[in-house]
Amino acid sequence: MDYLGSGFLRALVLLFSGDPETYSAIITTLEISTLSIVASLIIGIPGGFVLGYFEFPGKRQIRTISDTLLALPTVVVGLFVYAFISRRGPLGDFGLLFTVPGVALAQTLLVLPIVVSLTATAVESLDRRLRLTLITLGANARQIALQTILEARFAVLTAAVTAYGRAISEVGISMMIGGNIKWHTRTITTAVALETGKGEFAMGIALGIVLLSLALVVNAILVTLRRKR
Amino acid sequence: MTPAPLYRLSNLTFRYGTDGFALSIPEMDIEAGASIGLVGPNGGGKSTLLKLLAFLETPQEGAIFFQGKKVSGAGDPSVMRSVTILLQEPYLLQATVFENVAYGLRIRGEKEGVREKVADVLERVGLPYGEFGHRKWHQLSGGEAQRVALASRLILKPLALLLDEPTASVDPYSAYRIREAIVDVWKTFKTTLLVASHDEEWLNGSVDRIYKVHDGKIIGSGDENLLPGPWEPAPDSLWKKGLEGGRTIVAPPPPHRESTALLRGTDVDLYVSEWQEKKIENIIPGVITGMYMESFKGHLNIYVDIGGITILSVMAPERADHLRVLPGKKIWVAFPASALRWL
Amino acid sequence: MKRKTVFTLGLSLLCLLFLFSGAVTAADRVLMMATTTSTDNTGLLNDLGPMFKADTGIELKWVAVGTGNALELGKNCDVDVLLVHAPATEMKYVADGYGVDRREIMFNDFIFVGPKGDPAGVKGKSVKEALTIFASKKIPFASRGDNSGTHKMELSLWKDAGIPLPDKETWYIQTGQGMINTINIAAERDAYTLTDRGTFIKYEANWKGNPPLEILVEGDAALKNQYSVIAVNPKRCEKAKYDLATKFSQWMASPKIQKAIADFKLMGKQLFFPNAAK
Repeated sequence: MDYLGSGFLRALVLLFSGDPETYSAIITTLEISTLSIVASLIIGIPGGFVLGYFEFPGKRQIRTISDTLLALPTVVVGLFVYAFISRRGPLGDFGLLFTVPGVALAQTLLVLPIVVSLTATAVESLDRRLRLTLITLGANARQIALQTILEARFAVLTAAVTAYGRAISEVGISMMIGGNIKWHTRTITTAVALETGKGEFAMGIALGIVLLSLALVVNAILVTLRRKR
Repeated sequence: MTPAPLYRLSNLTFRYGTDGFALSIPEMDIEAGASIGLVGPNGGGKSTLLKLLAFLETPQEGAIFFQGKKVSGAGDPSVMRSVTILLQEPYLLQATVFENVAYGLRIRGEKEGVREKVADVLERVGLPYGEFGHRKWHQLSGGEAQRVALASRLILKPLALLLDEPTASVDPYSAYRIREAIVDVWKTFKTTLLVASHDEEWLNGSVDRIYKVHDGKIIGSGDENLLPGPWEPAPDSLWKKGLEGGRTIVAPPPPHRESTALLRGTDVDLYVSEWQEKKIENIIPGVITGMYMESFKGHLNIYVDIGGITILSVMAPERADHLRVLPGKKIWVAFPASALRWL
Repeated sequence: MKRKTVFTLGLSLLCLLFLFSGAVTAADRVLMMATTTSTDNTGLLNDLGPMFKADTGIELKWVAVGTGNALELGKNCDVDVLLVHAPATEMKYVADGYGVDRREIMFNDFIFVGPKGDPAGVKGKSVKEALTIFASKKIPFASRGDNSGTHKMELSLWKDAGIPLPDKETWYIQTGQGMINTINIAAERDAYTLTDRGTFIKYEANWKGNPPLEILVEGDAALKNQYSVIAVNPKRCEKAKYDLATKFSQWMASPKIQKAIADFKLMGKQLFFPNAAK
């Protein structure tokens, strides 16, 4: 029980003493999750927009699939991607296994459904009068699409924040694809798993608090972005 | 040689769904620079007509010709930037007042003098740029929002400006500014104006003509009385409708009990007493509730309450003067049964 | 609009930087190894890694997973060399052609630990005797149950004792987890368990020398935990860095490193006993 208290103190020590292992894990975590978020937003926002905006055959089926993928267990995604990027797999020659880009790739697959489904919902929930207003002001199809996404920006931002939370906190993919290699692919979450496995519970708690602080900083930045508009 | 009308509607039918209400217009011309008011009960087709003229909907049958060319349907890019409609409920983009008003210019690629144009049109609607320009869409009252929405349309200087109940859900001051801005713009830029409104008094004083839209059809120039059913059989193969105080209107047999009869205001005469020269079936006592001058046509509209229904009588000012017509005065409306036409 | 373009440009630059940073490291002389969690947890590799780099210029990168997982990585050519401790399985692995040049490097030992006071009365007994007592008296026993080296060792001990694996018995607790967690579960349930000495030394340290479990059976020859280096077969895996793997194997067996292994202390106690062939 007292590992909670000592864990909290440990967290402060780690953060303020500039402990190199901890900061290496922090940077790796940031690298991976930033890559995966940016990639998933670049693919997911237009994808979700199309899914919510247009009518086409199979739309409902695709939406159902996307919503179902929201419940993907991270280990399953890890296994799936491992099969592809392992040396014996079709993408083996790219040498992605046990690398930061490899983990980012797998994480992108994990959070993509979140971005797609939430963006689609955001677009669908827009007032019908938006479209009429844009048309009557003379907007062409491209301008309507652009402004529609802009009008949905708050909900899309929420999608991004949700996706980021999922990416930054997952362990299964980072373990499987990253390998938890010290200094290279050790993230905060895999470090927590490692310490816990070693019985170092206080350290596990400490790193957990570090992760939450990280998430807090990122969310604080996003909140200010939100207010500026 | 008369120039081609701005709008020509030909054999138009529009239906929501397969079985629903239908708007049906055989022929209608709207010349450039006209100002037209649309009145009528809710659900009668005013909004539908405006949406068709704004090219937000495509008619199932018939065609609309704009500036002489047939319009392919809703969203036809060749005409979309020439007409604009203001919807009933205020709706703005999630941006500042400035951005809302400037949007139409921005998407047309206009970059020069945008700020001046925005400030100018905001003045017109009574929202000074300094105070309102930077406000966000959620920092406005309903009336202010509607004025911003109007401004964002006015700035486009469209060929046709369509307004669906522009003052319906706004505060009185906003309503006043909106009305002023509309008329001012029409006068200055010769914009073709179509306004649907319940404010008949304002329309009467502001627009060229008024069309009543009832049950999907356009009825004349607004000088008509609509007398709805139910009707009951009466002696002499006439039918009658009861009013308060034991008064009745008699009419020729209707196609249906619930049919509506049309009575032109010009067919309604006023008597100072019940005495009659010729045999007129309807001489009904009532009280004059209002009257005013329709300036464009130069005649007088006199409204008489005959017991639950207000009858419009249209006559020359000289005759009204002769009868010493005044609001509050007891008078008899007179019209033959044959003056009633069934819809 | 301008702010948006700057932002997007900055972000793209960042992304490119990350991608390239990963690619550049891959170009250096890097040896990819798969080993077990218990090996990694001892901390030995944290010492040996930098020494290897200093002596050869090769960077040793390793993933620590379960034994089964490590062997699988070797089969899939995702690593270049293995450091594992499951001799029977290893020999079959080499016979099947997945690995080559198996070289024994060092050993530590397994021990049986159990609740203080030894309720089952197995202290000082041989492995076979202890296991027989567990099975007949239905004493609670925690097993790794995860195909790890420790687990495979445990299974072979049951087999050698002639006792059928108590797979479905209620007293046999299959945790499916790492060593520390399994020990914790054993402590909770007043059970016995098989563990490597290194992990138990660390466990003891956490309790400041007064743990709820104590060492009860040790020293039996059957409890020797042999570590070996196996290179991934270059004939199967073209991209495997066989030359670097060989260098590592030879380096681990070199007298200097063998001494370093012996000198490695965990909580002040020697953990590994070098036994590479001269």
